Amino acid sequence: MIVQEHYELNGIEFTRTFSDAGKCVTRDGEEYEEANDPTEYGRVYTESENDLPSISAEEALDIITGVVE
Amino acid sequence: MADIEVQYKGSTIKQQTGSGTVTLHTEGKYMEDDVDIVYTAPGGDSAELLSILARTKSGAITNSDITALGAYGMSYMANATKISLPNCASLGDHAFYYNRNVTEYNLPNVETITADWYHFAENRALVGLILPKLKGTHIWPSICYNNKLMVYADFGAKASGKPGQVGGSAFYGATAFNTLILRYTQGALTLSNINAFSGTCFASGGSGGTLYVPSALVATYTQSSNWSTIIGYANNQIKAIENSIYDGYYADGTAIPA
Repeated sequence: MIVQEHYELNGIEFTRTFSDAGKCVTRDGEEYEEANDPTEYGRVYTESENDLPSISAEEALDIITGVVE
Repeated sequence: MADIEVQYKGSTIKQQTGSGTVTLHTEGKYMEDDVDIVYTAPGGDSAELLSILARTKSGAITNSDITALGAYGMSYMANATKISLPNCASLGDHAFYYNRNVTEYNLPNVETITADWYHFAENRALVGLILPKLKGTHIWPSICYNNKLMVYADFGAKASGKPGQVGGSAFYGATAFNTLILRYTQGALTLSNINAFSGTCFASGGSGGTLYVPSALVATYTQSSNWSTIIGYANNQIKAIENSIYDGYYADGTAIPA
């Protein structure tokens, strides 16, 4: 299912669109892991058939150990 | 080095004769994957190639005979400071991973990188990366992940073909990264995930970065998904390459050949 979250940065409202089923999202033939747009654009995405890429073991370890903030 | 297997048609490289393409192959000695270096014979220095495979090669490395690197091909080169492979056309995943002392790569003819991870990641001394012929199909996930000193990337000056995608985590953790030059002219690259810039100067609350693209594509990038968000952060800018200091010049200041 497509999920949308709204947040504000520097006085601009943005919308984050992602799948809660671990899928990519797509619009106009382009595919994204997640999509972030100024909310005023009103963009609509659909869930792709393709799974999100899994993070590598190195990246997971770095995140766990705090090497990458 | 006894456990390094170097094969050419079933024989060791010292028995190599004639011409053709050679794949030097190790059995997972350095990482979980095997290491391949594709090399054009004859004319090569087998001792040098063995030293690359053994990760003992140090200083500036220039090798015109290597035409492709497989997964982990020149990773963990702890003592290398510069790597120049003027005839290398393709890179496997982790090709230059964890080269902690390399400050410069010269890869003028790399066109393709595999659909995988970490090709230049964990290069903690690397300041910039220029890949003029990298096809716009994909700038794959985590390509420059965690390169702490990296300031710039300059891609596509000599590339052809349709635009592709900047993958997730592409520059994740590159804390000094503030200049991205995408010279692809046939359309805007898709930005798969804003986490491509997490921890960089481009990130929300960062000191600011500049995206340089062809003037005809400034508006497209500005309005594209994810790019619009990155560019919308207060300190970031998007500029046309034309009439900038990068018009005709790579990010390191060298002139782009005609």
